[in-house]
Amino acid sequence: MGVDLAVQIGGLSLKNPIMTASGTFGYGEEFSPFVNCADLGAIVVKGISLLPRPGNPPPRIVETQGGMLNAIGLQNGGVERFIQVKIPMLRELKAAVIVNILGDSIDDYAALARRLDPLPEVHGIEVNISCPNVKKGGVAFGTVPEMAARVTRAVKDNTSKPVIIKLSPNVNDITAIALAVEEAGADAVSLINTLIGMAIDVQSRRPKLANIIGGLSGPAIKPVALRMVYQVAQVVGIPVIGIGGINSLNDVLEFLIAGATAVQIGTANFINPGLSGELVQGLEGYLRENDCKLADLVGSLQT
Amino acid sequence: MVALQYVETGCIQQNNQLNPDSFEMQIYAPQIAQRAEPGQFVMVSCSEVGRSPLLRRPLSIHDVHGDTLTLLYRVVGEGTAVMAAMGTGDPISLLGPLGQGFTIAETDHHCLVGGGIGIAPLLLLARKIAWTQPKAGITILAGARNRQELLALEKFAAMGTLHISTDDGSEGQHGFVTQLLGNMHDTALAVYTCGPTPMMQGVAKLCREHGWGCQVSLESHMACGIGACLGCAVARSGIHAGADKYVHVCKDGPVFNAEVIWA
Repeated sequence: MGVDLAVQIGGLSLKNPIMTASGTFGYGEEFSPFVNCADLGAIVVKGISLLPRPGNPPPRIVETQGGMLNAIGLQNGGVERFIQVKIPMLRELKAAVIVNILGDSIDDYAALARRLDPLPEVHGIEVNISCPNVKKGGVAFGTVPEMAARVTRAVKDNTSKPVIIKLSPNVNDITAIALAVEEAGADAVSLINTLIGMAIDVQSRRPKLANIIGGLSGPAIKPVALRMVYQVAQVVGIPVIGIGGINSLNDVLEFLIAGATAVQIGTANFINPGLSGELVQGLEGYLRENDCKLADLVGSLQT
Repeated sequence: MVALQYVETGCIQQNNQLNPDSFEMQIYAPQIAQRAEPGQFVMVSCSEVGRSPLLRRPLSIHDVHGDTLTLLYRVVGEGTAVMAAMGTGDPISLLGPLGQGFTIAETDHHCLVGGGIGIAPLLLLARKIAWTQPKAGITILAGARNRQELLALEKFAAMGTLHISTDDGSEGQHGFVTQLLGNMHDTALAVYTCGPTPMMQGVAKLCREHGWGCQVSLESHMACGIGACLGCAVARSGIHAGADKYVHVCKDGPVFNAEVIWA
């Protein structure tokens, strides 16, 4: 008893640093048989766009060594259906809800932020900047610091809620992107999104994903994620949220020591849908047994 | 309403090899066994969390007796190979029961059409039909590539009239199981099928021509089994816009009315 797990992410007060990653936790209700969402720091719901998106043709996922590739294609019912159908269910879950948003243009992001701003059920906004900018020839917003900054400013200008920018690892220098979005007003950064990869069926010589390429997640990417969290936490002053292959308490601790203020559980939710809740208890137990505070852990790497 | 789904560590009671690549695994798993409906499936963990293979594998529930459920599976990859090596007394983590199973039609005659390992979910269905509609007729049409790949025949023979076909003629009628279905002449037949996609498409086509209701049980790679990853998308028949273009095998299925998939 008496272990304080609370963390601050910008203006967002979370009861603990265990969150769920967008796209791996549905809209929360899918997991209600396995975890009490209100016990988690926050849930980050499946990414939403202004208009509905059908997603990619199947096959959309394939397992690889220690990980999985996905090319879901950002399937979602659009922001209006989200507000109509999902928000009432999220209200019932009594969880801290962070809504992940994605768009094809700066205007899309601004409009989404504005639409979500008045909703009391939405505690924060996470911005997926890995999408291609349709107006600028398809270059992802997340790969060019100035574009990432412009998306950040557009979202910040249209919402009073805390804004987390989710960073892509598929860049030359992730610290440059992190610094650019911090400068543009981001309240926090979360990293990493998936690493782009592919898999081939030798017999047919065809790609295993209909989309040919997809995003790699799972334990295979953890060392890369940890390295990037460490590097970003060295240079920014805003909180860093660590994501990438976390499936145990030890993994959580590694990310905190590397400099993450909070973490998101992703692919591991698919294997053990109750894991996020178990990790909250595990972290509480660890702090109690070792008589230490969360703040003593964050960024405590000894070099 | 919260769905009754569980992560349950079951205990393997038997894991018997039936032919060179097929096995029958009986698992003591009371929470899931007591709630399993015909056509539903479980996600089976073939390793410790985070170890290879990483993801759970979806397998249909073949049979249930009290607190024990049975999986009938073919070794097709890394996950099922790990399962094949498991033995009596070993723990095995299951997630389930999952998905929308078969809906038993109100009719006098039910026809269950299985191809290869696709016969698996039809046994529990036959049991439930016999239990809920004791007067209704049950015909089972079992097809396989050859005699060796025909599975669970004795159990099916005990549930109704059994007809067999093999691609090579080594048992039963020489040819495809769809030819057996073509020999059926009832007007009010309810058809339930599971097997290779071309076979099920053939079954669905025959049903459409005869005006028979047809439910198909689909298979897909999937990561979560509970509607979160959206990895198991299958295109719906007809033209649908936006997020309605696809259905998801894990949550909308695995059993669908055939016309939802193939018009």
